[in-house]
Amino acid sequence: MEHISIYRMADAVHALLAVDREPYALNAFLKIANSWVLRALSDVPGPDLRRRACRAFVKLLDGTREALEAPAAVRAPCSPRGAARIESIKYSGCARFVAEWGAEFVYRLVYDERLRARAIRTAARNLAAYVRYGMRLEGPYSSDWLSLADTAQSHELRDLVWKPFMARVEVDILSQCKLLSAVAEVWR
Amino acid sequence: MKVDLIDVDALAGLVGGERVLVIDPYPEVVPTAVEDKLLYLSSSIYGGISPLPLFSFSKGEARYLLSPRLHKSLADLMPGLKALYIEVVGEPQYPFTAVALVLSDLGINVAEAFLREYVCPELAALEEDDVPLARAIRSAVSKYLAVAASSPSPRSIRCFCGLCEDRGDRLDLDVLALDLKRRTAPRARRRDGLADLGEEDRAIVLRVIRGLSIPEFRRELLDLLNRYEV
Repeated sequence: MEHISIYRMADAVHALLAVDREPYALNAFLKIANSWVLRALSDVPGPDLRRRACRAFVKLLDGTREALEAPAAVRAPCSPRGAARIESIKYSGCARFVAEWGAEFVYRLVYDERLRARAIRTAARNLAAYVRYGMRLEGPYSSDWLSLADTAQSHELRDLVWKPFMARVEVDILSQCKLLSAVAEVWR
Repeated sequence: MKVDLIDVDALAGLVGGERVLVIDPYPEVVPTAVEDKLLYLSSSIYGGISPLPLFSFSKGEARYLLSPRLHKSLADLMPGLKALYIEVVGEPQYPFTAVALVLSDLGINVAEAFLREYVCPELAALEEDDVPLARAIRSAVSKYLAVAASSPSPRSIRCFCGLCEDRGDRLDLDVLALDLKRRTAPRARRRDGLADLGEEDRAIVLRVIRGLSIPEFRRELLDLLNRYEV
């Protein structure tokens, strides 16, 4: 299980949940679901693929929650301009950085450049806010990100324990899984 | 009721006025499913109009305006987006409840803080589960967009406010959220309003917060407060 990034698994589960409404979700799922994702899905018993995906996700989340905790210091792997050129689904480097700080799923920001542009702006705002409360932003591109955060946070941040991506996970995956009632027993 | 079509880009002018209270009923993080739906409904085949009405009314001395936060974020993704600006003329009846009902028609679960602060006090005064203003807004909006009345009745919001017998399964979600928070070892400093307090006061407040996360303690405390009508 350690071989899957929680970001890849989140993408896979979200794409599965979005298949009915989002035309590119199925296509995305086929690209996201590598052998490790498929193995994680098949490790969970049950007839319903979405419920299995939910359980597999929560299982992985349980083991890798540190990956989603806000760190004391973070290194920006690319500039905002570099981020605007993200074109392939990858769960490392720039794409992951924009996903975790811009609170957006990687596949969505690859497929939709409007979402990408917004995620980049959101990431800049979030980074600036976390920096204000003591996180260090490192690397040669750190000032590019901080100077992009010109607009004030439209909403007060309440919880800086997690990276912003966790809010996405809670709203779009955990609450949906809760509706599918697949998660409750795993989490208790 | 006055209905106008306005450019979302021109919203700043509305908000800038004096004694305008901006109320934000939207959840902090909008689910992608809701956002996708709103984008679809405001796409060009529907005339580039946001299905979220902007809503304004006067009550007492102040003028209230529904927060344009979500409109702005939609306009970010769809330049040239227009919004329906609905102004209630005269004394509004249960305006916050009406807003909550219309937004749930659109599939938006309004923020709990909004329900607690604005809607619950109205519901406590509302005798029949009927909000004519909600019907009026629906019919104004549906001249432009087909919006079906699918929202939960005021009764189910009542339950959220603790004004009904059946409290449903709300508690489970709270437990889940608490669990998620409790299992972490916080690294970045959490922002809380406690920084201004002295050491001793902060310790007391934190102890109470810890106590509240224990369901039994919380129930007992609420019972006590209710019994003495606090």
